[in-house]
Amino acid sequence: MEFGEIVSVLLQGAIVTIEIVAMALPLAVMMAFSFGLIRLYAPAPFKQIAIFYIEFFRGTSALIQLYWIYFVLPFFGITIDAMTAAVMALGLNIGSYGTEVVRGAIQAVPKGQYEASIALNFTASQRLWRIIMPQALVNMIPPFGNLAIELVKATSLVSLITIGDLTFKAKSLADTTLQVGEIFGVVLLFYFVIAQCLVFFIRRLETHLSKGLGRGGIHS
Amino acid sequence: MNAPIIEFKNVKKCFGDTVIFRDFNFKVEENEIVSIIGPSGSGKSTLLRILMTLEGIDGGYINVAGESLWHMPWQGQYVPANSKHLHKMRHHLGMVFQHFNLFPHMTVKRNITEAPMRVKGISREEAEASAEKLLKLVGLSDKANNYPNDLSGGQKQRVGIARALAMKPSILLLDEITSALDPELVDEVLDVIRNLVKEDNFTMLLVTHEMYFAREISDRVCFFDNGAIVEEGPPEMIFTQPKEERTKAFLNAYLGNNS
Repeated sequence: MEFGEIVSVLLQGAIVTIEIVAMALPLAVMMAFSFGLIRLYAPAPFKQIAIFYIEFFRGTSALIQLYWIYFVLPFFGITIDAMTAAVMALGLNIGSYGTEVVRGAIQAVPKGQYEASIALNFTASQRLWRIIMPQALVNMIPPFGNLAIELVKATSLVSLITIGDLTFKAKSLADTTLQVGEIFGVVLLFYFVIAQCLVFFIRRLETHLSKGLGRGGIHS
Repeated sequence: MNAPIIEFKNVKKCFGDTVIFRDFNFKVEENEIVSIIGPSGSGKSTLLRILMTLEGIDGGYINVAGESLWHMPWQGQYVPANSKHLHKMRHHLGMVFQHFNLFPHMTVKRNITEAPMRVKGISREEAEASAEKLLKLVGLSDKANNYPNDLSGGQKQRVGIARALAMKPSILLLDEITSALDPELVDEVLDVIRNLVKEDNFTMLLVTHEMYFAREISDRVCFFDNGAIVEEGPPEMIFTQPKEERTKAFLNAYLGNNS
C-alpha cells in the first residue's frame, strides 16, 4: 500500500480520536469542577456521593468502565451508541482524577487569601470565584495538562468498542497490509502531534492565567 | 461617656486543649488608639482575629458598635451569629495583615476597588476615584497598575492599608503590620499610620513589636501575657514606670535596660 494512502486512512482515524478528545475533555473538566467543589463545600451526603464517584472511576479499569457502559448497560435497558459511550467513559474516568486536581489546587491557595477576603467582607461565593478560584486555576493547569494528555492516550481504548479511531484504523491496516513499521510509526507521530497541540494550548492558557502571579507560564 | 465601641465580656477561646482566653474582659472607646504588646503566643493576634471574625469564640460575648459580634438576637434569645449577621458586623471593621495578603492576581488599583465595588456596590468611577486618593495618601499613585509582586514589602503593606481603608471601617485592626518587613522599610509604613491618625479620627487596635511607635501613637498600651492584660495605661506610664514585674522584664528584653 502506498505510504500516502496509509497516511490518509490514518488521518481519518486521527480525526475521530480528536473528536472524542474534544468531547470528553469538556466533560472531564465539568465533572472535575462540579465534584471537586462538592467534595470541598457541599453537605456531608453530597460529599459522600462525590467521594464514591472519585474512588469508583479512579479505582477501576477505564477499559472495563467502557465495556460496562457499552456492553452491559443495554441489559438494563440503557442503550448508548459507541461514540457517546466512549465520551462518557473517558470523560468520567479522567474527570475523577481532575476532581482531586481541583480540590488540591483550591486548598493550595494560601490561607491569608481567604482571611483577607473575609476581612474585606466578600460573600462566600465572591470569595471563591473572585479571589480563590483565579489563583487556584493557575495551580490546576499543569496537572490538568497531564490529564489531557492521558485522555488522548486513553482514547485508543475505544477501538475495542468498534469505533474507527486512530488505533482501530492502524490495527486494521496492519492486519491487511502487514506494513507494521510505517503504520505504527505514523500512528505514534499522530498521537504525539495531538498531544503537543494540547500542550501548546495549555501553556498559552497558563501564561494568560498566571498574569501577576509571578509564577507558572513558560518564559524561555 | 458613650458606650465602648468594642467590649469583650468573659470571653473564652481555646485552640484544642490550649486555652488562649479563659475569662477575658476588654474595652475600647470610640476613637481610641490602643496598642497591644506582649510576648508571642500571648493571644494578641487572636484578639484581633476574633474581632475580624476570622476566629470564633468558645464563650462570653463581644459587642462591637453596640451590637453583639458573635451572637444575634433570635426569638428573644442570643444565638450564635449566622453568616448574614457576621457580614453586617464586618462593615465596622477593617484589618491589615502581617503578611499583607494582597490579591496577587489583581493590580494594585483593583486590590483596592474590588471590595468597595462588589461588597458595597459602589460604582467603578467612585471606587477608582477613592482608590486614587488612598494611593496618594500612602504615596503609591504611580503603582496603581502594577501587580503586588512588583512591589517591595513596604509598598505592599501600604497597599494593604489603602485596601482596608477603602471599605471605610470605623475600627481598624493592625496585626503586626511591620513584622514581616526589612528594618529599613518599617518607617515608610508607620509614617502612613502616623499621617492617618493625624488627619482623621479612628478607633485603632494595633498589635505591634515596634515599642517606640506604640509609645508615640497610642492613647493606651496594654501589656498582654498568657491571654490576659497584665498591665494597661497611658504609654508614658507603661514605658517609663511599669508596675508589674512581667511588664518590666518584657520591656527590658525589648528596649535594653535603659528604660
